[in-house]
Amino acid sequence: MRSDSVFSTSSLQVYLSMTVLCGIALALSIQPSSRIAALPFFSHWPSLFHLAFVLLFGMFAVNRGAVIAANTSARILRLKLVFRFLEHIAYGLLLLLPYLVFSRALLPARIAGVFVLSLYVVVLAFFFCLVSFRLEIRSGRRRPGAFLLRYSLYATFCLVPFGIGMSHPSLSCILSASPIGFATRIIEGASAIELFMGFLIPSIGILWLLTRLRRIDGRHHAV
Amino acid sequence: MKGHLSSLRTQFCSVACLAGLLLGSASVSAQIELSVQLGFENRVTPGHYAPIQVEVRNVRDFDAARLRIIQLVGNEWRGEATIQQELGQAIQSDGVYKAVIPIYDPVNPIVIELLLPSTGTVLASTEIDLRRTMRPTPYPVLDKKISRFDDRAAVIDLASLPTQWWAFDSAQSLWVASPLLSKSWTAVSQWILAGGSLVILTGTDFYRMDSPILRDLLPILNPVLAHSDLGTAYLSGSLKDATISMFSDEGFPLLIQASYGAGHVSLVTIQAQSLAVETLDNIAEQVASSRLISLRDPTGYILGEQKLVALNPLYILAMIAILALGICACALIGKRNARLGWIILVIGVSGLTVSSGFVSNPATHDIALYAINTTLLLERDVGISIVSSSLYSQTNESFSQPHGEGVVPVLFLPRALTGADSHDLSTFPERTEIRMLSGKMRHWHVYGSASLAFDVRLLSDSMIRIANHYGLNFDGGWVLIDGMVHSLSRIDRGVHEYSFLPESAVHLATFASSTDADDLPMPATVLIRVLRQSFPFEKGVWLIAFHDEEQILFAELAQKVRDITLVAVQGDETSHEI
Repeated sequence: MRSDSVFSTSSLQVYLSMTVLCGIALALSIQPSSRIAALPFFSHWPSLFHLAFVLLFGMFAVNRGAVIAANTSARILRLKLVFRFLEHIAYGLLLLLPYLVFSRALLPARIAGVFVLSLYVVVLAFFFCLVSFRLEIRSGRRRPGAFLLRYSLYATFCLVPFGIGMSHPSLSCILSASPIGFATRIIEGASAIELFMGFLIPSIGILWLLTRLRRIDGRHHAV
Repeated sequence: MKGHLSSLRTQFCSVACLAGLLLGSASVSAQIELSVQLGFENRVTPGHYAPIQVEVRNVRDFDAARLRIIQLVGNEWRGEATIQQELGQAIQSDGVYKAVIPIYDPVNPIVIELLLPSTGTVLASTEIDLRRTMRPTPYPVLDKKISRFDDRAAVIDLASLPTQWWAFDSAQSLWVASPLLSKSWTAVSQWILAGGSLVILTGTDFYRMDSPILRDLLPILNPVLAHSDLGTAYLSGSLKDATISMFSDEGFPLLIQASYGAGHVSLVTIQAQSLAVETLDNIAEQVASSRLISLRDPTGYILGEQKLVALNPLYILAMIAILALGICACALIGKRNARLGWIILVIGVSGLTVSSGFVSNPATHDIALYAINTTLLLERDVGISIVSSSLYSQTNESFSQPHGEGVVPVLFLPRALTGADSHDLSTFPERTEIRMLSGKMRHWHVYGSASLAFDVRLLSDSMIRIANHYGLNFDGGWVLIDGMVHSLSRIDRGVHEYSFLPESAVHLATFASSTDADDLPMPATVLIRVLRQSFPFEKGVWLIAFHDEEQILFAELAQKVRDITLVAVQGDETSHEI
């Protein structure tokens, strides 16, 4: 059995961690059944689960991309690689499906938002699988450096647009380019421009990386 | 020729001037005019109701217009809120329109508009400035026959007295020395029942003022005019359950006081004109200030004790455990047969997803708003209702709260209006639109009149007949006879006779302390404790009935509404008839 299979021992740890962490976030998101007068000031954060879902799934994608890269020959077909990524994403999403259905009750006015967020997570995860895969392939033997690089890149992608978007009201449309900003805006009710901005960078990134992947394949074949 | 031209020019100029004047006057006459009087002698108190009288002139033929009052509350430092009140009266012709509205912050100008609600067109508008006449606290309201002994007092003609009792909300005491219309007497007695303070100046004027309602209010029975040794005419009679608070220099009782419902009636036994300003001032010191019953605090407390409808966190823990086990099982099976691993995963997750959907059904768990509505019905010879509402929001969406037509609720505003939470309010004839942030509370109350719905007759020491025409079966009730409490398990609609054991009666003090125990529902405990502070339950006959109903309404937002109704009926202590 390949170690990048969804049923491998290393995958088991990742899936278990993601399921447990998202479950904890979901438990923290729900309103405590207490008296109104006894509610603490910050009793619960209904959008915590959705934020954790996006962030953890992105990290999961970074990990999967690297694991697949470590277990893949350079001659792998691009289509097969895509299917391998999608297999992991589908497995992860399937595991979190009961949580997503449960989370409707947290944001009843934004049920469509939960669906859009799931779609965004698929695109984002695919993008980061590709990014991580490419970084791992290019780094060769410098594994510790590649590990830091891919997670730093993910953190940058999450924080920089969010920081820019928060810095001035006129730049707020950039907010949704970050996974944190996108999740926040979806929960509060995102506009069409914000949705477009959220999907834009991962989609362009996917297309660009897939094109680059063919070139790498071409070079490998030529050698 | 030149002279002819000059005379023609002069004639033309004079005709043009005349035409201009006529056109100008025509345009002026076409303008709608609003003339506004607010409060008694334009005196208003923040956070209290005040009568408003709007005279509309030069109304042309149009669809029914409405009056809208816009009040700005606060300032840049305190934060600002805009309160809009659209009154229910349809205005189609010239005339005087009266209503009672809450006043929030008379430091800011108050705008009164006449608008067409269908289009939102403002037909006329006026602004009133009450900065000089506003009073920070309630003030005495005096009949014009009484000398102004207090600078704060408003002196009015009693013929223009409002007929809605909550119009007297900002009156510290009402001094009457002239006959009143029957409608006005009813409004005054309703106000006293709710906690108002009436001072009646009689003497030789008594027979002009005499009416059945006045006789019921007076703290003496069989009033007759008597004369002192020096020939001063004063009103005399046998005391009901009253105290003599002041004697005149000639030795006869000058001021007699008694309670009526939650309020007080003070009788000045001589006529207003005979009293010097110093004497009036001394009397005013003895007169109790009005203090209307407010259920705001107990209603807020009951809301605070309300448990939130919440999802079960144990289900999430169970989900985590099942999913963790499922992942391990699928990994074990999937290592040998990947396809079988996928099939088991899909089946397991599908089952868990469906059950998760049922458990977290938003229709049963998504309560956007919690509302406690406490209705207090008070009956004696007149009936009043006091409705207090406390709201807790779990949404940032705006929502509307229904209320009776023709009444405008008073919203309790905090001192600081800053921050993201909006205290803006828009009241329409039958609803009030509120916007508040999730996790915030609002409190408001509204006063109203109520028709007499109870007829209670004590048949014997152990039997009572209650005619309940209120249209509600009450969960429980208590009959209080001279401070002894008899419990009734249930009070049904219609006319029924109820028996109770006199030996099982408990004293009011014991009963009040036992309300801490579990044998009474919490809201009843809290409300009775508050009412005890206002009503002399130790004297006479009282009926207290209680009803508590909770329901989830699915309107624009899902609301959990708890309607608590408390009825307090005061009886005649001499005949034991109510």
